[in-house]
Amino acid sequence: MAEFECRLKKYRLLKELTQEQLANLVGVRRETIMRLEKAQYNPSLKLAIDISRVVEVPIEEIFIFSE
Amino acid sequence: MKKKKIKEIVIPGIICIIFLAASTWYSVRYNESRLVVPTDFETYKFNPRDLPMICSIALTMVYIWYLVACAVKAGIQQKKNILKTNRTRNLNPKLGFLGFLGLLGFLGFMGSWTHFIFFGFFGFFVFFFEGKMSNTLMDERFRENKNKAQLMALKAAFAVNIIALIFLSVGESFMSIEYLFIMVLILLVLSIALAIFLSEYLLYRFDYDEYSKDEHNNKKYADDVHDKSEYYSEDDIKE
Repeated sequence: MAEFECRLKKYRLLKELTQEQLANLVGVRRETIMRLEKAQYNPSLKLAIDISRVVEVPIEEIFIFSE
Repeated sequence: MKKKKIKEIVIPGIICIIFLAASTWYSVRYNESRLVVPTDFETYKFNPRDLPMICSIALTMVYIWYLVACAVKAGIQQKKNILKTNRTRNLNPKLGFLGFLGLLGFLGFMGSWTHFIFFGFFGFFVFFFEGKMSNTLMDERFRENKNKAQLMALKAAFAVNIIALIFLSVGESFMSIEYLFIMVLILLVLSIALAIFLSEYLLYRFDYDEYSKDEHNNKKYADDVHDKSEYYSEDDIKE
């Protein structure tokens, strides 16, 4: 089964954004960002793209699925 | 609700009550209680003295329709607001106390079987949880949880319906048909109440439990770094 890893926290901090700010920018709740960062939630393609645009990092570098 | 709107609803209601009380008094005092006591409309003949009672009843009916129209209008407006703001509706959790109206269903054991339908009011307990989730942004995770909760609630209600059907099919051998239908009616009404209640309750549990667990973990970390006030930023800095 594929293992999901999320590096969102690292890139968010590089952009100096709080969870709340990022949540507002991509139109979700802070709790959703919190769970994303803990790799406990699989985002939709739209949310993944929105996040990658905000943090200016390609999707595949933020969300990693390893076999 | 705005004060103006409350006035628009309450004042006509008071006027209706006053008219109804006055016409009832008139009928009892001067018109042999016509249209106050149960009336057989097959033998009824119009009398001009009945007019006050007829008018007040008509006025009350118009008021009831007005209330229904207001409720429908408010519902449509709320739906529009939800679509516009993408947030859950604003509700007072105290409305959940309306769920106790479900106890009226027990009146069915004393009189008419139709009272069993009141068991459906137990579904109003849903407002406790819907009220707690008032004005929540409905993001994709919220919608996902909502779908999950609704599916589970409908599965539970479906299971109750199946039990009702089994009762209906095999119950005739050990129960009179009248009691059987009452039993099935109760089960069906309760299944509706269960579906309404469970969908919001489970959504609240899914959302709140996940949230509180995250909050707890973050707080625990904040305790470790001796800074309880800004544990989110500390949590961020850790990385």
